[in-house]
Amino acid sequence: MTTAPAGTVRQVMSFRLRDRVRHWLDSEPVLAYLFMSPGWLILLLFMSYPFFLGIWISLTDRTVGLPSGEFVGLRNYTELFRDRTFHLTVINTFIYGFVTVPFKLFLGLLLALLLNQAFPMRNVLRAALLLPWIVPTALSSLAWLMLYDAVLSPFSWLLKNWGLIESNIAFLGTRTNAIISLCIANIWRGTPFFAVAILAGLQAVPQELHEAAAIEGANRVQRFFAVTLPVIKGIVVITTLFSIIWTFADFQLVYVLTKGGPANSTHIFGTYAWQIGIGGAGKLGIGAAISLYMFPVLAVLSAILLRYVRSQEA
Amino acid sequence: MVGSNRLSSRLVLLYLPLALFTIFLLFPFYWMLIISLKPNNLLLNMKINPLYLTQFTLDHYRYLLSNTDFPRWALNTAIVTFGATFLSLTSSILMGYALGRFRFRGGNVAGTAIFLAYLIPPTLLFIPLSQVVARFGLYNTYWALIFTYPTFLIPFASWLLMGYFRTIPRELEECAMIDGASRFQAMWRIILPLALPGVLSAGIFSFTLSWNEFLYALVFMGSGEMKTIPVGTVSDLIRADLFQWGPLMAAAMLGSVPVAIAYMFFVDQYVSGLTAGAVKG
Amino acid sequence: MTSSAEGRWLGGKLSRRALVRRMVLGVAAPVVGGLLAACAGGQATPTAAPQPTPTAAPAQQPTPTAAAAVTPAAAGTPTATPVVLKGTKLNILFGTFFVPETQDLMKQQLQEFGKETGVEATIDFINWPDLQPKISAAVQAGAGPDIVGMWDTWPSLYKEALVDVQDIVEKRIKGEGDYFDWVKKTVLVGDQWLSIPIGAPTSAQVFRKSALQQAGWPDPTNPPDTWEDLFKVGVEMKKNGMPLGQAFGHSTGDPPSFCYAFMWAYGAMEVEADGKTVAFNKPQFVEGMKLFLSYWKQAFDETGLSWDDATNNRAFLAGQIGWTFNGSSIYIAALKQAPDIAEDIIHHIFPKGPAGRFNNLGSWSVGILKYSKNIAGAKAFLEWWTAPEQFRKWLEIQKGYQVAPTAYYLNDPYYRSDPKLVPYVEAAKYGRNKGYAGLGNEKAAEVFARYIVVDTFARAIQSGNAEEAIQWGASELQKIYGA
Repeated sequence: MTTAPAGTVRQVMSFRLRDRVRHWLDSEPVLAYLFMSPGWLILLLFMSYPFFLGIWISLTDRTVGLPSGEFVGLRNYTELFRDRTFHLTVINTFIYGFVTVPFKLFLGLLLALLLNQAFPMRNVLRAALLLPWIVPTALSSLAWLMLYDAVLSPFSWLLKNWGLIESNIAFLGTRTNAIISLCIANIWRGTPFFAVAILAGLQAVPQELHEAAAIEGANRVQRFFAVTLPVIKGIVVITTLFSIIWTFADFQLVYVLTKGGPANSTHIFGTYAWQIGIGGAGKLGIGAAISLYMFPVLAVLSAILLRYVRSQEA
Repeated sequence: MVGSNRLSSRLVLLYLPLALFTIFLLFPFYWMLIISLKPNNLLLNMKINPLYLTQFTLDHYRYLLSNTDFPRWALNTAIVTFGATFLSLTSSILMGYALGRFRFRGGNVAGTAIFLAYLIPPTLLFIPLSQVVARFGLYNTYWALIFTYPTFLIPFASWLLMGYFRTIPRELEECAMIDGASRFQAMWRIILPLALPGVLSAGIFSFTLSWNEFLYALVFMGSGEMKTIPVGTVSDLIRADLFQWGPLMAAAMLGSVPVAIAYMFFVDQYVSGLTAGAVKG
Repeated sequence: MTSSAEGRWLGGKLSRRALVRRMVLGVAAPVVGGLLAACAGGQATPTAAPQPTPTAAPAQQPTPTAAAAVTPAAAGTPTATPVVLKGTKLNILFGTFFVPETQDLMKQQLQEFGKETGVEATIDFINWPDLQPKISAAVQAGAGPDIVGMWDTWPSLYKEALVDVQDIVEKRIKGEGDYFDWVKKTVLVGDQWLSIPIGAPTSAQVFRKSALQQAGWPDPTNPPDTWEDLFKVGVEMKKNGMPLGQAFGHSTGDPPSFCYAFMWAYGAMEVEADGKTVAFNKPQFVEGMKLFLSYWKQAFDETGLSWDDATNNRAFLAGQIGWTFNGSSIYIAALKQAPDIAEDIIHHIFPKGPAGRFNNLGSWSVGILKYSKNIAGAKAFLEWWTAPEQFRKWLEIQKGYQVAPTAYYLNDPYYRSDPKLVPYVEAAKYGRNKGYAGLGNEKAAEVFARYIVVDTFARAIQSGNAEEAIQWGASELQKIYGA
């Protein structure tokens, strides 16, 4: 596959052979498969294969200390049906996914529109406001852990100092509080991604159209809907779907902040699968089944995504 | 476009919202910075305002750099990040090129299948994956991560580049090929340079995610000298039921800096690369 | 620079030659190299070791330290040395230690062992919540550390993956006397020793003497001894801004130490001694829970529902609470950071309830994984390290934080020299394993990992309904023990 235009190779090969190889390599299907092979090889070895292994595990009663385990059919899946904590997990995941994404979208759009204007130090601010998305979540979630801490939280301190509250707020102490706190941290982390993607979309908005619309007397809002939105619609849809998928499959934030507590009330798929599978109870089969329950939801979302992409191509 | 009271309108419509965003998005970093500079004996002193520093110390940074293996973690993280980014980018350029420019049977199926990769969360994957990694003898080597990170990088990067390659007119290569260039020459010398912003975007994307990854790094090679920054920080600075907040936050600051700098320089290219890829994608 | 590719194309309608020149200068070389690298990587077969390709990262070769523990002792070319172990490798994985010097000591001990035997041993410490996933993944993969430190109930969880160490344990028992009952119940798997007990940190009540005094407690050096008295004095303490502080979040240390102790003190258990009959929903326990709930708002810091193992340490040292359950880590930290608080601390053993005084205690242990390529070396190390000469050093450096698994060590000066720490040693007498009256087996481990006992309390606090919460707990326990 050393296809580089290396002079030595060329000299050694006879003209006819070279032409034939060249002709063959110029055929699009051959080239296409050749080009895709490294990527697919990696994905097949390190993704598809373990994925099917994962499906197999979900059909067994394998535990962490026992690398085999017996086939139990769909028992793990049906058992979860009766598990109340799992019901709550499903609900939480939906809340987490469908509440945060509109906020991220709205704030991200707003931020993108702002960052698209001209002002001094724009590049610095563009990069700086991306920080929440680009620093390691494992570390930034520790900062949030501290901000929400029952002892060290500066928010509690401030409110206490102003005499608005008497004792520290239990940011992560009740289900409602904890879910709101988790959502805020998630919105914080996700907004910049929306912003940068939409900002990218805005670059494609033709300025002439904007100016023409302005001359015709359209105000800012009208211009946004008439000129800007049609151009960025595609990227908004795609970013939204990606974000829903990522939020659904999130793990780190919830894991660091609540580990699913208090009283299992804040689990999402990732953390519950972790708690049952790898993080203690050791029931790998059920843990895998929990993760795989995500699959239909993600599959539907991806189908929408794909349909959309296709329709744009047509 | 501009009203008579231009300044005040800009103030309300631009600077004020920007300021609010800045506060919301950067406050946690401000907090990290403060804690990383705060002497230990003041940390739990609830009488002083925690929002600014009355004294500051570089002890936590000193501790991090001399009493822990932080420099080594940084080196590991850099090696893995560059390796994984390079591998993903190379595969994604080829993949994106094939999907974006070639007409062939199965092209659509291949494009669809790439998306399916997003359906599989790492939390599900890492147990079976650890078996694969061990079977290939990659356990606790850089290769374990260099080969596994592309699984979540290639799909997005390929998709981005596919969109980008589509924006480049086919006539360009056809023209070059009529002139006697081979398909490869046309690709390497003409199409790729034009796609550079897209490649850069995909590269930055891959770089970021690799730099930040935690779970695989913990499971596949989190031992001894092979820890990455996120794993090393969490495992060495949380001692049983005691969080060493100062060094933890110092590590968070130092761990974020390289990525932040990369963005500072490339943010424009990143954005423009996303533009073509995403809008057309 | 224009922003889209079309723009660049239109704006840069250069001659092909110019394009080519730019390309060659800019990108060609690395991309070609990358192609090669990608192929070399993709074709790696299970047997072939990955070859370092001449790519961007020069140091991609596996370092010969920890990683190499997995491979058979390749370097083992015995040059006429009598010691078989010479040149073999050993990797050990432990949770982090609260007293940082412990980790340095263990590294030193490894070096010493290395000098004596020629074994090249390395040790890693990982923070608690990440320890188990790492062991689990290693077991599934069949590669990883040779020796792991485990919490109570884990030996049952990993029983298929652990090497029998009966011979070493027998030597220990012969030399240092029998283990405590709570040790045996949490480390023994059936009647098999699959790991060697090393004791565990325990909890006790931690009081601020001054807070007790302020609350009008008659004798602050002799703090409340029953749960009810504790709650009562808590009400007064909270009035003075020094409430009781207890964690009820998803955390493996402090929340269980309260909840299990309270459950037992009020006559409930996970299961009967048969290991099958759930004995959780007991009238006495419901009454006890109601009592606790009636005091929750008046006596406790109500943010406790979100606390983890570390929060009460902070809250106590910040002067925000006047009582908590904890290991001696608060006191030891206070000695360094806040001597005035250390001075003001008194420790007391667990409170009594109607059914008695109990303390959740399970022993940590160290075990050897079956996939290890150096089981002989691992055994040699554990035998050497758990013998009093080394083990005592390890206990000593932890200043009594770790309670030894046998009475043999309990009169050592590091347990007795500071009178404030004596209650921790006393607590060992009241130790009961998770899963009591059954064994601390994999079922008890599952109950623990699912936080069922802890969540019963958390549910009760959230809903205010003791009956419902205990019913929920009982039904969850039934699912596990009844199966």
